[in-house]
Amino acid sequence: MRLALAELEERAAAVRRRVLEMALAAGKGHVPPAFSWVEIGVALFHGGLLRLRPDEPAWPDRDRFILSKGHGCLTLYALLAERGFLPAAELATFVADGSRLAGHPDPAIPGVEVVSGSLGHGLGLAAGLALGARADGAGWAAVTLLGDGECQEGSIWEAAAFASHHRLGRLTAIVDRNRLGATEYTERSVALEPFADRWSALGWDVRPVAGHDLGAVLEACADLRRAPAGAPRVVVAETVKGRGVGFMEASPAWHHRLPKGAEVAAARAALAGSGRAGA
Amino acid sequence: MTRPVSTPGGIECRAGSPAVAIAGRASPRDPRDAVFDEVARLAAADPRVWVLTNDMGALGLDALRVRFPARVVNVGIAEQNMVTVAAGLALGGKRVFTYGILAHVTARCYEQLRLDVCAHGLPVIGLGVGAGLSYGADGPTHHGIYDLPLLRALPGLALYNPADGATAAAAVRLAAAGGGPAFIRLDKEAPAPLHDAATTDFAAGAAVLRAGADACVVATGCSVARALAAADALAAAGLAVTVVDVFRLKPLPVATLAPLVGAARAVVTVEEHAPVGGLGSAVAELLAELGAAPRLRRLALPDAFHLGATSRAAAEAAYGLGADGVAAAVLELVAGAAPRRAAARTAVEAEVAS
Repeated sequence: MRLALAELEERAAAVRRRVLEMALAAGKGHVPPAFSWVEIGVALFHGGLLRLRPDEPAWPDRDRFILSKGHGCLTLYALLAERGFLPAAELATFVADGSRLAGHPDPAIPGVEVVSGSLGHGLGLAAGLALGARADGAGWAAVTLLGDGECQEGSIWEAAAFASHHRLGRLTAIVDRNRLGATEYTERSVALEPFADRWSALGWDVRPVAGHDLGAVLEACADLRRAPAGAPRVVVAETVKGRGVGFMEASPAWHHRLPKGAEVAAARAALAGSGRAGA
Repeated sequence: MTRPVSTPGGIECRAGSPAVAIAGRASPRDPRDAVFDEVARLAAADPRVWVLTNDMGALGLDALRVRFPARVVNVGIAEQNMVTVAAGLALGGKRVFTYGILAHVTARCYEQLRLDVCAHGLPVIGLGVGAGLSYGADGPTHHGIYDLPLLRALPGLALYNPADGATAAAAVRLAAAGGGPAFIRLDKEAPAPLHDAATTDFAAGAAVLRAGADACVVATGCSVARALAAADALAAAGLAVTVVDVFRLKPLPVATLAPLVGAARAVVTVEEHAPVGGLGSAVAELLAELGAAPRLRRLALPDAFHLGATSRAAAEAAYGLGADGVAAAVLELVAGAAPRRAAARTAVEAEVAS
């Protein structure tokens, strides 16, 4: 199922609205880190990239998607509900006692492969999945979304070297390069640049992309099920943390802060109507 | 090498080597060989079985690599990634063994064990060689004496600490049959077989190696052989001592242990591990829950780092973990002496009193 670009942009706008409302209702949640990967998520889940069966979440031939930056789960929950993995009404239970939808995701949720939220795990998990799938001659792809701050974790680079050494061609890592960690710009805490060069030096197929340009993301991530032996692919998606609500954008103050007072109406207004959120 | 040692009670024991010859039993077998033979059997029967190592060698592993080159992967010196890749393979349906030095494949990658393996209940079986002071001369980086509280805390993990070849092989079979996360601690020492050759069912997780009414010695790992040697020496002096080999530390073999320690007048636990969170802690917890109050002595290494070379023999002599130390502890408890208080406990009492 692949929707037209304009329709995908409408989806992205709807996801942002849904994310904001879930967090406001719960009084909790990481909204700006969720906003920065909305177009990436829409491309994966609605743009025909990931092969999934919402009515059969454990379908053996599904592509495996791992949200390594688990704190961005509000976007994942909205996408899973839209694709029919979850009843839309369940989104209102976000972080409520007994809800499946915790502040970080786990496999009790249909469509979620792993526990995530502690950073630095997703790439190695995806590499193990890809290695095993290739040995089995399976057709599915392994895809993981990493935060850029997450790439300050050493375990990411252990996994990056491993995946390249084993030429895990059917592994795609997408980095949400919003240039912010939890409290600080990545380049001010411990710089990641030259970021793309680091991946290149390890032998990865590096695809820089404007991370809010749906068409560009679709192109950079195309053919997830490509040849199983070859350089693994990393899509370095330049994004804006908090994208869509001006006062949240690219600000170290907005990792898990929520709008309050007049900010609530302003955030809703910013996300209202337009398919091109924040444009 | 064995050397006679006089205990405070005048009992002569064989301390040092655990090679207590037991008539009619097979010759000593390196637990590592026993483990890799068993892994090879599993790998031959099941194409889902993979083995990862963090660049650690073993003869048995070399043989395995020749037979199954595609399923034995050296991930390099990267323990976190080894465990995470193992979890990824297992998510895709594989049954994965990881192999490395115990001290390195536990604490260094603890979060990966906790979240990637255990939180998903995946069939990843850790093999950690170097339990206790197996690598004593290599210094504190290689001492496998701090991992038990970490591993015992992991929900769903079956934790094995076999003392000889038979229980090491059994641990592999049981861990694989369990279908979930497991960890097997391995010693570099190859003791004479401790269990009767006829014993094939180790599912209970513990076995009574000697039965006696005067005291109950509960031991694990390399300490089991010392406990047996102590029991033999004590028998010569007219004391009948029960010796239990606890080769599965989690779940604790309560069905075997509870009736024994619950009814005993004196209980001595023996482990070559720091005193926090290991076998002694587990038995003390069990006794408290049973409401049983035998005299209890927990023999363990001190709550300390051991800088420099610290051989097993030297540590046994210094901390009373050899056969003579075990025998002395039993004698002291049986004679009714008040249990020696741990330094920490005394410090707490002093603080409360001040």
